[in-house]
Amino acid sequence: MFDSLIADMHVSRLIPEIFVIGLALVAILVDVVLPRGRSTRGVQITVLIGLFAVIAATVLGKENTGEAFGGMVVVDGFTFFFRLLLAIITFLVVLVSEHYIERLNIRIAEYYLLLLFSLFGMLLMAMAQDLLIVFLGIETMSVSLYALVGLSRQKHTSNEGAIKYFLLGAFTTAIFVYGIALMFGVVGSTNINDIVTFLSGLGDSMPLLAWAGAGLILIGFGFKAALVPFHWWSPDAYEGAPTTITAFMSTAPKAAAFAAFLRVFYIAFGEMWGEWTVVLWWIAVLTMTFGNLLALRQDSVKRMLAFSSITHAGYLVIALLTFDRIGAAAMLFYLVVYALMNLGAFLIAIAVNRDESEEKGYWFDDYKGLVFRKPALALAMLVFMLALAGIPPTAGFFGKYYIFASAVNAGFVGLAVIGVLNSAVSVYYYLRLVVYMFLRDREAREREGPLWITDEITNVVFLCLVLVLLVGLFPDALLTFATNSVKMLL
Amino acid sequence: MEHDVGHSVEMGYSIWLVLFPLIGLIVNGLLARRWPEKLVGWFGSLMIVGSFAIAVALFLQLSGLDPHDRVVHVSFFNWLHVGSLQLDFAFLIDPLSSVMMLVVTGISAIIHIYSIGYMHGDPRFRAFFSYLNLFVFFMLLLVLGNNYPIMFIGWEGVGLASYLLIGFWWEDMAKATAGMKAFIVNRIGDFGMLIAMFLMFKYLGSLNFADVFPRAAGVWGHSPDAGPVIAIGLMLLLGAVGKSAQFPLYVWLPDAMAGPTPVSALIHAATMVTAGVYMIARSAMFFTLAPTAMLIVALVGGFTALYAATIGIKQFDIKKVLAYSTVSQLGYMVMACGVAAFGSGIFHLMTHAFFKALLFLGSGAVIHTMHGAMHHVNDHTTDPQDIRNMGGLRKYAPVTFWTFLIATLAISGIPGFSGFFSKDEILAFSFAHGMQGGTLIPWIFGLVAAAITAFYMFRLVYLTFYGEYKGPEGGEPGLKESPPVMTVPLIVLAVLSVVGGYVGLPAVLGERLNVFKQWLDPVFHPAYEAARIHPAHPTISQEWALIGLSVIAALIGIVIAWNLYIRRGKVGLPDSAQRGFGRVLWAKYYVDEFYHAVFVRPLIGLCRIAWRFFDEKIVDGGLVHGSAKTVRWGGGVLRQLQNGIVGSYAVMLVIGVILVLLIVYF
Repeated sequence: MFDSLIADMHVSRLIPEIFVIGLALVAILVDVVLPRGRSTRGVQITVLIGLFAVIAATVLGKENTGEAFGGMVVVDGFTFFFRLLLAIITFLVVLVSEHYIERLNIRIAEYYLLLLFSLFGMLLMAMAQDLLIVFLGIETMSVSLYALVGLSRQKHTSNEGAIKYFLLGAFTTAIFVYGIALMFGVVGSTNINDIVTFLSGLGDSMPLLAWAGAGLILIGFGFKAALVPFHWWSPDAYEGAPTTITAFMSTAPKAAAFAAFLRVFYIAFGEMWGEWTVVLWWIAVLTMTFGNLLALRQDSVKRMLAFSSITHAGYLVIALLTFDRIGAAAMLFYLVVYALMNLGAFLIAIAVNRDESEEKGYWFDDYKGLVFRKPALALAMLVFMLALAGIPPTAGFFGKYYIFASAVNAGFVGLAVIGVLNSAVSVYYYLRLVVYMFLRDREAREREGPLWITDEITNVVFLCLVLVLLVGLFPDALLTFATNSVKMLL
Repeated sequence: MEHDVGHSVEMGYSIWLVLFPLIGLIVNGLLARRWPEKLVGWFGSLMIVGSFAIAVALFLQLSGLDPHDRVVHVSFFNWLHVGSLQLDFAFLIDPLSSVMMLVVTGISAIIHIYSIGYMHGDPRFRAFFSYLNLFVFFMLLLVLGNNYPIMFIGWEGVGLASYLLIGFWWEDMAKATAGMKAFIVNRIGDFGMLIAMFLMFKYLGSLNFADVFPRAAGVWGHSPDAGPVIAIGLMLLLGAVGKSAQFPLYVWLPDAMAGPTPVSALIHAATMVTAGVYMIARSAMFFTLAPTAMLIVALVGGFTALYAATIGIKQFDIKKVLAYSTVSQLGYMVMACGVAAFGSGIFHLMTHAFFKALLFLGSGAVIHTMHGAMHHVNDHTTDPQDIRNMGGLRKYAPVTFWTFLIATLAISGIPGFSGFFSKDEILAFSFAHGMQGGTLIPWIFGLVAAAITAFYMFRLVYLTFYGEYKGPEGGEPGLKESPPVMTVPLIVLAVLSVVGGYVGLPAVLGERLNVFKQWLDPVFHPAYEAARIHPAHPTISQEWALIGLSVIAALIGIVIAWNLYIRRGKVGLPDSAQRGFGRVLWAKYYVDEFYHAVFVRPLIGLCRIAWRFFDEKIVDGGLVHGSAKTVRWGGGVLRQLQNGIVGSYAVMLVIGVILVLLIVYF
C-alpha cells in the first residue's frame, strides 16, 4: 500500500530536489564532524560533489517526465532547463566562495547550507503547478536569501540590505498570499490547470476578484524579479550582500522568479493575457529606463551592476509579454546568457576590489590602467561589458536580438524601439568602465595594489568568457534547447 | 530570380580572406609577446597582403564567369537554424562585394605597412597591429556576409575596433571621451539597422540577401511606397547616417581624429565609414521600392555634402579639415544612392578611398615633419597639427608635397584625376534624375559643394606647403622628409589616385568604356526591374555641359583660394579673432553645443533627479548618514525604521500595487 502511494506520487521524478535536501543534511554532518577551521572547506567540497550529482541526476532523469505529487509539481522540458541552469549557477558560485568568505571573515558552513536551501526553493518554483507550491518555493528561497544578504555582520550595508529585503519581502508575501486566496475564492482550487479550465469556462464575464487575485500574484513575482516599481529592495540588498551572493541573487533567483512567472501566467492566466500585456508593457518600460538612469551615475561597479541587473529584468519582461513560443524561448536564452556575463563581471569585480572591509568599495577608480597591469583580466572584463551592452559577436547581442525580434514579431514594435534605445543608453556606463581600464594613468600606477585573484575565480571567469563568446558565435544550439524547453507550455 | 551556383564554382578558399587577419590578430595579440617590433609589424602586414592576394584571385575568378553567373554564395556551416530563421555562415561573392574586398584589403595592406614607420617606438605597438587586424577581420565580414546578421556583426565589430583605436592614446579623458562619443552615436545608427532587420523578418520571413530581395519585390513590387518598406528604408538609412557620418549624426567623426593618423586614414576615411554606403547599395531593392525613402536619402546626402564642406573652410587643424571633407565626400556617395545611381556611389567610394587615404597619410607625414622641427628646438607647446604653424613645407618634404597635391587635384575634381570621373558621374546622374521628374536640389547642393571642396583643399595646400615657414623659430633644420616606409605608400596611393578613375570613363567618351559600371550594373538590375525604374541618363550634350560646369566650379574654388592665400598672402586668424559667419563656421555651426544642451544635459538632469530622489535621499540620506551615527547594528536598524526609510519603500510599493490594479480595472 505504501509502495503504491510512493508510485502514485512519482517520487522518482523529484530525485534532483531530494538530492539537494539530502546534500544539505550531509553537509551539516560534515561541518560537525570536521575540526573547526577545516570544516568549511570540507563542506564546500561535499556541496560541490553533491551538486555534481544533482546535475547528473537531472540529466539522467531527463526522460522521466510527467506530473508528481498529484499534480502539485510537473517535470517537463521547462523544468529540466531550469534545473540545469539553477544547479550550474549554484555550483559555480559555491566554487568561488571558499576563499571569498574567508576574506570576508564569514567562514561558516551555513553559507553553503543557505545556498542549498535557496536552490531547493528555486527548483520548486520552476516545477510548481500549484500556486501554493510556488509560494512555498518563493519563501524557501527568500528566507535563505535574507540570511545570506546579512551575512557580513560587521558591515552596516549588509545589515541594512538584509533587513530591508526581509521587511519588504514579508510585506510582499502577504500580498502574494492574498492573491492566492482571492484566486481560491473564485476558482475553488489553487492548481493552475484548474484555474485555466475554470476561467476559460467563464468567457467574457471574468469576475473582478479573479483580476484582483491575478494582479496581486503578479506583484509578488514582480517583487522577486526586482521589477519597477517593486524593486526598491534590490539595490540595497545587492550592495550589502557579500559579492558572491550578489552575483548569485542577480542571476539564479531572478531566473527562478521568471520561470514561475512564465508558467503561472502563460497557463493559469493565459485567458486574460490581453489585459496583462498593458500592465507588463509599462512595467517593462519603467524597469528598463529606471535601472538605466540610475546605473548611469554610479561610481561603484557593484552598484552599477546592481542597477544594470534591474534593466536586464526589464528586457526579460519584454520577452515574457509576447505570450508566444518565440518570446518564451528568447527569455530562456537570455536568462542563460545573462547569468554567464553577469557572473563573469561580478567575479572580476571581486578580483579588482581592493579592500573588502570598506563599507562600499568597488570603485571605478580601481580600474584605472587595469589593462596595463592585468591585460587578460581587463580583456575578459571588456568582453563581459560588451556582452552586457549587447554588442556582437558576444552572446549578449543574440540574447537582446532574440528578445527584441520576438517583440516586433508579436507586434510590439514600440516596445522593441524603447528597448533598443535603452540598450544604446546602457552602452554608456558599461563603456565607462572600459575607458577606466584603458586609461593610461600614472597616478594609478603608483597606488596600484595587488589584485585578489584566486584559481577558482580565474577558472570560472575563463569558463564564462569562453561560453559568452561561443554562444555569441554559435547561438544555434542554445536557442534550439530553449525552444524545445518551452514547447509543452504553448 | 534566386541565383545559387555555389556548387558549381569552387570559391571555398575565400574563407582565407577573413582567416588571415584572424591569424594576425591571434598571433600578434596573444603569442608574439617577445617578438621585436619590426617582426610584429611585418607579420601583421603580411597577413593583410595575403588577404589581398585572395581578393585578387576571387576577383579574377569572378570576372571569368558569365555576367549572369557572377553571384556566388559560399556556405561554410549552418550557423543559425531555428524555426523559420535559416541562416548560414556564408559569403556572397558578387561584383559589389568583390570591389569592396579589393578596396578594403588593398588599402589596409598599404596602411599597415605605413604604420610600421608611423607607430615606431610606441610602447603598445603590438596591440596597435592586433587592433588593426581585428578591424580588417570585421570589415571583411561586413562586406562578405550573405545575410544581414553577418553584416551586422561586422558592422558592430568595426565599430568596436574603431573605438579601441580612437582611444589608442588614452592618456587623457578627452581622447577616451572621443572614443566613447563615436561608439554611442553609432549605437543610434545601429538601432536603425536592428529595427530594419526586425521589420524584414516580420514582413519577409528571412534575413538572407538571396531571400529578402526577391520577396520584397514580390510583396511590394506592385505597390511602391508601402508603409513597411518606407520604414525599412528609413531605418536602414539611419544606420548608414550613423556609420557613414551623415547629417545629423556626423558629429562623432571629426572627434574620432584623436586616434593615430593611420587609423584615421584606414577606418575613418577609406573603409569603415563607407560601410553605410555599401549597405545602402546592397539593400538597393528596399530603396527603389520606396521612392520616398530614396528622396530622403538623396536630400540627406546632398545636404551633408554641402554642409560639411562649409565647415571645412574655417578649420585649422589639418586632420579636422580632412575629417569634414570626408563627411562631405560621404555625402556625395549617399546622394548617389538617393538618385538610384548606386554604382556611381560605389565608384566614388573607391576613388575616395584612394585619395582620402593618401590625404590622411600625407597629413600624417606633415605632422611627422612638424614634430621634427619642434624636437629640434625642444618646443612642446606648439600644435603640430595647426596649419597656421606650417607653411613652406614644399621645400623640406617634396614627396609628401607632390603626393598631397595629386590627391588634392583628385578630390577637387580636376579632369584626368580619379575624383573627377566619379564625382562627375554622381553629378550627372543627380542632374538627370532631377530632370526626370525628381528634384534638382541634391544636384545644386553637390555642385556648390564641389566649388567649396576645391577651395578648402587648396587653402590647405597653400597654407601648409607654400609661403613662409611659420612654425617654432629656428626649427627649420629639423624639418625632414618622412622615411621610405611612409613615403612609398604615399607614392602607391598617388598612382592609384590618378589611374583609379579610368575604369569608369564618362559616357561621352563612349558607353562601353565605363567598365566599372558594366561590372556593377547586374547587381542592381533586380532592384531597378522590381520597381520598374530606369536610372536616368543625361544626354550627350547635357553631359558635356555638366562636365564643363563642374570643372568651372572647381576652378572658381581654386582661384579664390589662390587669390586669398598666395596673391594676398593671408594666413589664418587666431581663434579669438574669428568673427561673424566665419566664427559660426569655425565653431561648426555650434551643433556640438546644441546636442549637448538638448540631449546630453537633459539626460544628465534626469539622472540627477533619479539619483537625488532615490539614491541620495533614501539610501545615502538614511543609510550612510543614519548608520554612521549608530554604534550597534540593532540601533542602526531601529534608526532606519524611525527614519521611515523602509516605510517609504513600502509606501512606494503600495503605490505600485494600486497602479497595477488600476490599470487592470480600466
